[in-house]
Amino acid sequence: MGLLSLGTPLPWSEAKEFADHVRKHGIEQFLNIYHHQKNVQKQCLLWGDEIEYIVVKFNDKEKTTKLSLRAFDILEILEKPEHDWLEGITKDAPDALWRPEYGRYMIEGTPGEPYGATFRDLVGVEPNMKLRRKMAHAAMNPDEYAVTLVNYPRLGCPHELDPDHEPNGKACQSMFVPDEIINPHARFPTLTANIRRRRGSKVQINMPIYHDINTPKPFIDPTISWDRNLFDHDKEAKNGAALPDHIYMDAMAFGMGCCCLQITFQACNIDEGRRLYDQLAPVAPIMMALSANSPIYRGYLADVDARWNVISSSVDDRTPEERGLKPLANDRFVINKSRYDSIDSYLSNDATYKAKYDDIDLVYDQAIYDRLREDGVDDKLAKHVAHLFIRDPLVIFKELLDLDDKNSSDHFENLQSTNWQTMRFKPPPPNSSIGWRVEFRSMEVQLSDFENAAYSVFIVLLTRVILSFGLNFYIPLSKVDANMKTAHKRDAVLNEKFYFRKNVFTASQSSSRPGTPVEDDDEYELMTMNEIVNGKDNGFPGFVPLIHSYLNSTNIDIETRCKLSSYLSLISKRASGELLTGAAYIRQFVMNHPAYKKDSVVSSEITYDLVKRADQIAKGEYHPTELLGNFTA
Amino acid sequence: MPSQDYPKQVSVPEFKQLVLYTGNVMRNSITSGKHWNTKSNAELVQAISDTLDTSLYGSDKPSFRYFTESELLEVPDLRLSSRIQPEDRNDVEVTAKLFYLDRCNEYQVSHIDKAIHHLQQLLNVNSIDTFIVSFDTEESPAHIDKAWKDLEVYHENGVIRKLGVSDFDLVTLTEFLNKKDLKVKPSIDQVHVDKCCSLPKDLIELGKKHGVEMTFNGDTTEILTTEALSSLLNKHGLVTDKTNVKPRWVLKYNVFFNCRSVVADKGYIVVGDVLN
Repeated sequence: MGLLSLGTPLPWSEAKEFADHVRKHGIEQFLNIYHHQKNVQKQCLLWGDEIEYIVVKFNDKEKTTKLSLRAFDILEILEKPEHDWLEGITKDAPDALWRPEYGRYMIEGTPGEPYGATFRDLVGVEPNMKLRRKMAHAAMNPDEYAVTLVNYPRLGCPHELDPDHEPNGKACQSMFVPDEIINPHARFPTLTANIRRRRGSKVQINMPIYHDINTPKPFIDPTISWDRNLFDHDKEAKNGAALPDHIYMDAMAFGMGCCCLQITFQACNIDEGRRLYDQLAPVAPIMMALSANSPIYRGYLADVDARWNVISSSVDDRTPEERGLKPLANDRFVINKSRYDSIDSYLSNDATYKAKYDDIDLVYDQAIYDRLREDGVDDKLAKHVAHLFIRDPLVIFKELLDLDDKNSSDHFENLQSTNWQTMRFKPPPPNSSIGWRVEFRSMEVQLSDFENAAYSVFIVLLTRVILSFGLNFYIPLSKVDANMKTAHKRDAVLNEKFYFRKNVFTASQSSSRPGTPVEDDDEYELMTMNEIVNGKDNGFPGFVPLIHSYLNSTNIDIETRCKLSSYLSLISKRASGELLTGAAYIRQFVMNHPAYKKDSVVSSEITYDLVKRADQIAKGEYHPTELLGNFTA
Repeated sequence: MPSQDYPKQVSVPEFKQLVLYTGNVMRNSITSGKHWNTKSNAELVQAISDTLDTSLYGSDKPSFRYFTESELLEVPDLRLSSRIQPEDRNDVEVTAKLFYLDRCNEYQVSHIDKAIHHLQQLLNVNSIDTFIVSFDTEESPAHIDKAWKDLEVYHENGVIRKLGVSDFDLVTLTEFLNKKDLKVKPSIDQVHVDKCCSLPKDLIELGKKHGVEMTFNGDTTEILTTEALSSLLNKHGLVTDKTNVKPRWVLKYNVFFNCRSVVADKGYIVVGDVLN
């Protein structure tokens, strides 16, 4: 997670005073970078993946698991090769880079060097991911494992942490998780507390519970300490924050403690970056549904399969005025989304863009927009940045207030890195040869590295296909948002339909069919996941056939071609329902477990077996063909 | 798109030879479906149909050129220019694959000369990075040798960087590599893979030993039949249903940005003769 500067973070009452200062200088920093880098051309494709792991401690004798809060110590070991290399102690560049994440039980790994553009690079992804997992285990105790579950199923249940702590911390003020669950670096507890202070209440997360035959209806959660009176915020639950028939969560940890699979890639120039940002935006909800892997929250089976709304609610710092619950008095705008959510506007000036695709209200700071425009930034990019900057900076370090705007981007990154969206457009750092980049953020991490590699490679190939075929995926953003809602649903991959553009080839327009109105070319329709991924007769050709057609147009050796085909086959079969998504597999595992009482409760005993299975799958010791298929290449 | 709504008559002079350029096929729909590794010529057939649609019926006046002396009809594609910018030449890899469809000896030499010449003009380049030849299975070794010798000359002159063959199995490739008069080894052998679970391990090994890369071949060897070409031309009003036009050769080319893995251009040049 972004920016880990050193220093004293300001409490909210003081941070608020400097919001304008940070925004103003953040814009100047952006302008300096923009003008310096806007004409850079011919950058090669470089890209990387980010995988987040949960560290779990096993007690095989008692058959229990606990979240290990030792990430800090584990990271010290993992980061040593990088430190030694940076200090010239060793000449070997590190194979992987490791970073802390929000949870004190989470570690994040990325490849040591970015991957390149060749197909050989693509088949090198899985070995690198497997190596990282091995490295992580080598740095842990023998009874600790790194699993790539999206979330620990019983996070927020009592006594699930090692060391154990009561949920009575001042930063979270949560009824379920202690402050010790947060990464000790000053940024994270400050972020947590400031979100709550700015919002004026705890964050409110409610995910619908899955009603099984023995689940009470209505479901009123007996594990909530309804009458606790440790903090003022404790009464929020019983005053309506905790909805019936829902799994209630009240802390940032439930969201930012989730693990994702994120892909960042470099564009050849700023225009290509903006174009790919736009074309991948409609793909984000599709990939979330395809990668869905999180059906359990706080020890209960949910009626959703994906985590996005949980994270969105977990960092929602909007005040009641901003949420439209009270008339605007102290705040400037009514804002329709949390600072973690899907994108609100398209970014590219490509000829295929049409204004009708931007059909949701875009709230942006007019003064900032004017400043950007007067300094030569075009309308769309100015609106994009001015929209990101309607938010307040949540973590400001006292010592780092005054910066050299020509050489620093800290204030820009402050806002940039605390707007978490389905796509992120990333300007280069100042004084760097790194180019304009795009980050694809909606995918859920998978249990095994074969799957994580498959999904990563799939996205990269899809970007090559968009560029090679000149594809147009534009649909109105309101429909993209509708797709995000749909993508959460239980078994969305099998049962739901998603809005998708019908005609994606830009060249074959109505000129070849006299009499066809131009508007028809922009039509979108509801398609099944199978149609979107595998194609529809006389309709959209499908992501996988498009990728195969692209690969057929290159000089690719047969071994690499077959390996890539196994990845495409996994995606294809997940979309057709021949293979289960991770969420479906986990759900089935719980519901078929002998100790499951058909009451939506995921007990410690079930969790032990589930986490153990996740670990075995990751290590290759257990191979469920209903999840992973049987690909030999 | 089916062209049944078009008038089926276009007025072109009587021609004896035909050259057709499809232009960039990447910008239209794709033809491969669920079975990516089935050998197919659907892309070429669709491309020819699209080109005839656009060139002959796409605007007020049909677009073609006619060379009276040789009675040659040239149908260019006007949609996009395929010329590579000189400043981009070092960033792209140009690959060409020549399908020999007409087995008449006397044409063999000029196939390669003509194909290279057409491609150089079309793409505005002097050199071609990879040139692959595809012979049908009954082609005699003597003819293959002759074609290869011509290619070796182009390689020596720096026009072609890497040479490649197509559908050479273990026996054929071994014999070819052992030829006494072989001056330039193939760098590529384009082979078709039926099932990924049974890759031709021996062939791959042989390739690794001699620096020959096995790349994927998705094309049918007889990529265009007389029947298919004649039928397409008839449907688009260029010839009557009694005329047969035999394809002489087809050149498939692609332009690939290496460091971004983007296919910038992919197309076909089709040359055919009207039979009496």
